Amino acid sequence: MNNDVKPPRWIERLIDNLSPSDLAEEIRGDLYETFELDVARHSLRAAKRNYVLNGIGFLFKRFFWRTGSVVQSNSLAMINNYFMMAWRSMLKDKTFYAINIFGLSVGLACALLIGSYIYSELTYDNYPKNADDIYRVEIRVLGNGIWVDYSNVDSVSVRGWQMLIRR
Amino acid sequence: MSKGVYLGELEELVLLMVALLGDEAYGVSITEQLQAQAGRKITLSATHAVLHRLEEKGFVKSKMGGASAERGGRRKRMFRITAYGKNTLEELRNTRNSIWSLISKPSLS
Repeated sequence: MNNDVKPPRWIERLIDNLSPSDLAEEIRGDLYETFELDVARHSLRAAKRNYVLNGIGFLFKRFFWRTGSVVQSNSLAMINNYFMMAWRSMLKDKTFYAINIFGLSVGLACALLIGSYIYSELTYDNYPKNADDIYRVEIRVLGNGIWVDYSNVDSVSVRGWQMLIRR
Repeated sequence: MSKGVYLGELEELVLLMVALLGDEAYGVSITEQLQAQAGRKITLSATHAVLHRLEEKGFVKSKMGGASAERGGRRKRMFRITAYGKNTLEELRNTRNSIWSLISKPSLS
């Protein structure tokens, strides 16, 4: 077997780190064997995809291995339950949830845009008299074939610019 | 079936596969056989979870087998059905058979 035909490394590492040490060996062995069977039967791509799916399956099953000795805290179990219920009701009413989440995200995006607009409006000084008549002069210069914007214009370059216009 | 012991549907199937495979029962072979014999496609992790549950309940026992090259040098955990597991399966079958014999043929059609 050549070197390219190898399962994804990151899944192996995840399983090594997360699974109880007495189980890691058999799991990785079984995964590897299935991977080679898949390579022989289907394709390398399918085998890799299967490997990832199976590996993630094991990560989910992690919670079943620790039955008995470790007592999970009650509030943690409660929060787990909330997430599980939310997920299941989402799977039940997909259209409703899609509309709901879409609406929420549009609303949130609008709020953020309005917020940033107001923030930029508030960054202008308005304490001088006739603040509405204050303008910022910018200059755009073509040099070496590139247009460059300057946000402030000193008197010299203003003079140069006027000369340029006069011509 | 004795009181307080429950064998789920998938657990029963997996236990049957362990019995069928004899000395060659481990995660991959059981998953393969489940698909070949019963047409059930389940993930490897599901098989493992069921096997560990069966072991907790005392229906199977396991030990680590020898390493082999096709698994990248890693050992596999071999499962064997216990006498208790065998008895439970037989009891299940007997219970079912006796109920089936009570169902009269006309009522099925």
